[in-house]
Amino acid sequence: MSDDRLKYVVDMANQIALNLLHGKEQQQCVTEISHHINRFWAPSMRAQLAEAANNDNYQLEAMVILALKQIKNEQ
Amino acid sequence: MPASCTTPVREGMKVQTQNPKIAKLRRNVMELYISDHPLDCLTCPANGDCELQDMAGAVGLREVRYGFEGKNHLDGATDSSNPYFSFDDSKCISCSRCVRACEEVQGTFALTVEGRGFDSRISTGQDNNFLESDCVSCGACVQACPTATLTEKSVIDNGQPDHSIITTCAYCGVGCSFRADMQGDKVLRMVPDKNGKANQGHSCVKGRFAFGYATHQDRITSPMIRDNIEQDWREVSWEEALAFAAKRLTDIQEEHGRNSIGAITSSRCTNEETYLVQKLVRAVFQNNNVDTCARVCHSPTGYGLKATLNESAGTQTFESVMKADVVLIIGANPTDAHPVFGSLLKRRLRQGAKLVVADPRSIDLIDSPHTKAQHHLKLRPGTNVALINALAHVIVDEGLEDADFIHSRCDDASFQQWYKHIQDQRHSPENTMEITGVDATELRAAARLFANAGNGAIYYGLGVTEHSQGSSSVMAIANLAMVTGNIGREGVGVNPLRGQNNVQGSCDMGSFPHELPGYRHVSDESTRNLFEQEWDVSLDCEPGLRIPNMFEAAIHGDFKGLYCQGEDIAQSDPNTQHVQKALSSMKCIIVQDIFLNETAKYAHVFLPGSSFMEKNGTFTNAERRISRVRKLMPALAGKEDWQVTVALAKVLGYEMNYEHPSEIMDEIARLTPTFSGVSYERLDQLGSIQWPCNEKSPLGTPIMHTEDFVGEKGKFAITEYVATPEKANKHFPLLLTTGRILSQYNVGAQTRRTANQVWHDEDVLEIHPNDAEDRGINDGDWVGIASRAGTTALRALISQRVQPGVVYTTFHHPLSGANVVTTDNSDWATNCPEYKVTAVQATKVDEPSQWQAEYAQFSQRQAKYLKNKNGGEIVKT
Repeated sequence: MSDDRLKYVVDMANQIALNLLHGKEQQQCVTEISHHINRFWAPSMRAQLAEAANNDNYQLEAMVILALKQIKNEQ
Repeated sequence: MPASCTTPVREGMKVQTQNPKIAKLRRNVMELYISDHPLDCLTCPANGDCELQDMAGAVGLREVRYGFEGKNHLDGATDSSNPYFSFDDSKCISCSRCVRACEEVQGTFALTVEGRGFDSRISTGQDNNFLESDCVSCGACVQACPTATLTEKSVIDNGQPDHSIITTCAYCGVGCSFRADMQGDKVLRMVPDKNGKANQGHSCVKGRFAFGYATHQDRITSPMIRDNIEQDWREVSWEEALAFAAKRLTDIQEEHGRNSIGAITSSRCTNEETYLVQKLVRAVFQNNNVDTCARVCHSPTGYGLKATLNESAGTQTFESVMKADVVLIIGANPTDAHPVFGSLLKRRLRQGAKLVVADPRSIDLIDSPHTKAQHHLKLRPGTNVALINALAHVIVDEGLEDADFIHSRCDDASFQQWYKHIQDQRHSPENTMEITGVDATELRAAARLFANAGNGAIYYGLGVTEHSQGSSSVMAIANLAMVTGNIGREGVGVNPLRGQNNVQGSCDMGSFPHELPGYRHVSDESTRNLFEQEWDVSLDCEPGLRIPNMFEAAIHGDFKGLYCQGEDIAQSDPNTQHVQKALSSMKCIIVQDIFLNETAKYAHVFLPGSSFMEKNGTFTNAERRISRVRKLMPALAGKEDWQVTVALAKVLGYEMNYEHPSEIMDEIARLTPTFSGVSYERLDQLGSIQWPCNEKSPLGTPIMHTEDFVGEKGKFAITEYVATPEKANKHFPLLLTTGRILSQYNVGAQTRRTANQVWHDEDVLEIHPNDAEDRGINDGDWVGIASRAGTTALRALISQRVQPGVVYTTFHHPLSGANVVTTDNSDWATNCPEYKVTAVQATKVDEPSQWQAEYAQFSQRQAKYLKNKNGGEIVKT
């Protein structure tokens, strides 16, 4: 898996978080991020995001990491 | 005796239209006209279609007592400067209909009556000819002319039509209805249909005149294949081309997996064709890797309106604007991109409606004859959300919200959360001024004007959606409409102006990778079951790849095959070099198009497409209006587009059994609740239908959300302004924004092959005089435009339309490379590209960019490969 590929999904996820984290409680924000990723992302992209979350080279927003946990728990 | 056209009716008035005295007067008037009119009826191009001729017959004119000697206008000159029609002054009777059409219908005021008395003549003003005048070639004057003075050149050259067929324009999202006047299989002219509900008998230069591309010599009418893109094309039979395509797709899936191929549907194709492509992907490719060009234009509309108003569509009819009191236009340029709606809007503005425009650039509507915007909020590119939030803040801050509407129609929890958010002082015009560049006092005044309007209507375009916060902007617009109670009746609403003719339809038909037709998520089991039963397959419950995701996957070796119908991603999508890299990485690209477009230069299979004139189907315009497209002539390639998809499915082992596109629509209606009442029979009866059309609304739904938001309450969304990552700095100090021009359409594949080229044969860079002076750039100079993505060169047009620090261009010509410069930044929710904000530097240059030089060489090679098909021999069947 190339770095560019993971960076691409990390940037996308962080951008989603940046736009959804305002004016809400943390749990609502986490739920909205996980819902968005589940609803609009292909499974291959979700898998890449999960891979990036396990790699220290990528700076995932805290809310995205929580959202990924929620996605995993819901599976 | 008063003229009926200038005498107001009043109560008790007795009106006689026929009696001997009137008949005599009419005959006398006609006699005067004819005394100064060429008597060449038998050789006149309007012979058989001339109101003057008809009236001379109707009033029984038998002689002209005044003779034909003496002073007259018979030596009047003919102005043939316009490529589509001529003005023969010798045949003009100075009735002024053309002047009135230009004023009252089109709203351009390009024509006038010059001189007095006998010297009165129709003039384009300032001694200009038509081409050099303000005329926008909408054709309204030609249509209104009762003689052969203003006549289409196609009629002058070919004579009168022998039959007519009503169909729908294939250009912008207005979806004008046209009467195609035919001679046999040849389209002689397109005349706007007076019964057309979208256009009400009006047209623009594209729909009215620019249809010649459909029979242009560049049309490719035979299938072609090749093993790789640096080979000559080989013209083959349909069977061989489809078998070649099918084998490649099958081999790719066997080697790289089920998800390694996909398709792109087109907003230029019909609903039925689009439906079939997504069906092919889902039922035959067995994945959800289908997307549409709406991805790069109005996908944020789909997302944003669904999230707030619970339906992914605009709320009104175009006609609704005639009841608007205040119109707010954000990021749209209707007189260029949606000209027929632009004319309707101007008519309403002349009646007194107020106008607020939010746009980084001075569009024509802001100051044109007899219309002037009350407020032009000239914001910095990329700051829409901050601006719309500020408008909402003023409304809330000053207590101008519609409490009754909010209480009765909107979800209280979401409103309370949003209310708390928007009240914060960071959203005030005074605080957002630094972000937007818009004066706080002006913004407050605009907010008050909109909030206090009886009917406030919002129209928006790609200047809203094509941003990193496109979806947030759409939701902010919906918030604004709801907080002011401007939803659910005529004269109000949220109105996305869709770019292409069938953007709405392509989205409705399930072209997005996460949705089945009717905007139902692929994870919804009951919906999936419905389609599985109808299609006799099992369907994937996970979303597929969007277009930009397909490109990424292609570059990284996971996505290898693409079926692209009627779409030119190599030119229209951002960061051209990235797109080229993705296309070059694939093993099989199948392009179905009427021309060898830019994407086809990267293709291995070319399947000749059919223009809108060659097929039956439907388009759905920006009002959700479904209109019939009717076949005018046989498909030049022998197959209509829907038949090609059916044939490809068959070779891949899946039978789609349709005899006619009406049967595809019947299937759509069976499976899609909002379309359940739609059929060709009903469309023929009603002319057009706005969905939802079902048991509850058998005649369609002109205005949405009159009682509820599709069974729910309206939801306010929190839309925080988040600055785009695309920042200007000392290396890239200007912000480039891109757009469209009246005479050209989208990537220009159609309009570049018409005489519209006379108005815009190259894309130019609009630059403010201050920025030009700083760089030593003069009008017409070549300017290199460099961004973080790439470099191109365009000629400069020094213009005050743009503000200092902002430059603007169009993307209608491939060699311009406008999208070489645009970046991969995209909307956070939908990946819609941020075409509207690119940080660039502009410098005077004297040669094309490296990309342009390489592109020119590549295009020359591809032209040679096309010329060399069949070893260079022309084999035509």
